[in-house]
Amino acid sequence: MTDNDTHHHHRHLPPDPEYTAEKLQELLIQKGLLDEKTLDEIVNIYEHKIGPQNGSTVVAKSWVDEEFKKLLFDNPTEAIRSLGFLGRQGEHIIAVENTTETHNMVVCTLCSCYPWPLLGIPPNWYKSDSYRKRAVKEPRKVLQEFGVELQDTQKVKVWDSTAEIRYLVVPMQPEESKGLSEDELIPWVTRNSMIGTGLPTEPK
Amino acid sequence: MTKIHDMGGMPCLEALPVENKTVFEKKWHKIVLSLTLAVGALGKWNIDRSRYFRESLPPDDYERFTYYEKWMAGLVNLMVDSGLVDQSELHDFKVAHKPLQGVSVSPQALKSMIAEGDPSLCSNNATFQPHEIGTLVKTKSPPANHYLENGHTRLPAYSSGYQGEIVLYHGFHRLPDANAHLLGPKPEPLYTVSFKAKTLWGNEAENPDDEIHLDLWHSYLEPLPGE
Repeated sequence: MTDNDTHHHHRHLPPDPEYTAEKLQELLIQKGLLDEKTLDEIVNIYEHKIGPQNGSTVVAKSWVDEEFKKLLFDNPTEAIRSLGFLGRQGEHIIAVENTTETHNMVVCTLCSCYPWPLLGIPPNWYKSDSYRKRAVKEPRKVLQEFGVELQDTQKVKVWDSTAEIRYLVVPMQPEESKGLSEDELIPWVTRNSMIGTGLPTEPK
Repeated sequence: MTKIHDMGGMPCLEALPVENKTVFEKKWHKIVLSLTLAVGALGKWNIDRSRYFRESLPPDDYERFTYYEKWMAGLVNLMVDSGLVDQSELHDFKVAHKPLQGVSVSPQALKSMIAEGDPSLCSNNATFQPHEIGTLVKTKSPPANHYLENGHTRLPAYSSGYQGEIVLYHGFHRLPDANAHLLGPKPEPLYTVSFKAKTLWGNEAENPDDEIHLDLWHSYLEPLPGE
């Protein structure tokens, strides 16, 4: 079947989303379209197994391991695969490096594309209309709201995720963290520092 | 059809929402996410089609719905469109037909689908000769779907009709403009194109030399003569 341009402007659902979600789940299980154990497994994966700790591991490794860092920028998808972090909504990865000349920041203006296997489920602000509208036009103002202070020498590069390429920002390693081990560095790499709306910070 | 989802660069005075620290803010968010993935795994549609259905919601719904409400409404329309669910079943949430046996995706199968993902990279074809890195291009205007009036496309309006430079080449990828409408993957070369802030925003640019990068397919671009 193909589309015409009018056929699915329907409203099928009752207004209360909580009620609707529960009834819909029941209906689909009764219809045999869903296995309840599958639903539990999905929630378990995104609550406990996939999250920003994956991305932090990648970044911390790139800070201490020159060979890995080279692979991460030359062939990012292979580098991420070598750590086992590819997957749904992170099939093709590009790593972009912050330097004293460049600060990178990621958005998806058309929906909310985000590197799920590296950073988990996107946070609410990333999915908000205001971030989607503003990040491409006033990134510096947005960064200010996040408390990110740019250096005068830094140009801002915004990456609008319009295809299936997912972007991972590799922040600069803070001076005061130099000399720490990979494991010690992981908690410095905050989720927002890998979206570009934050900087790595010393863990409390 | 609305283009309400195409909001990059639109005027906006709203501050960003305060961050919610939990992975799922509400219990029903977990339900909607897991339903979407588990029913999607039945293979009746693809990721481009699910994006198209979310952005085709009635404009006032799109505007007032939260993220997971858009997901749920999009999912329901996809299920009706593909015949998985009857409209009557959505009125009373009672099964109208005999339940289907052995259709649902097992936890193990779903787990590997999440781990493997669904790469959009395809093998090269002879239809297109990819542009070189450094090629100056102009994006097509208006940002319309070539196959279907008001169809799905991934060329944002704010970047349409402007000059940029190809800075990365990603190989041939499925074309959402075709794939969303079940016309096949129709792979095309995919590039990252860099635009200067002053090109897109003129005097309103915060810093003229800041750059905005977008991933754009071959048919979205016209090469310009080099300097």
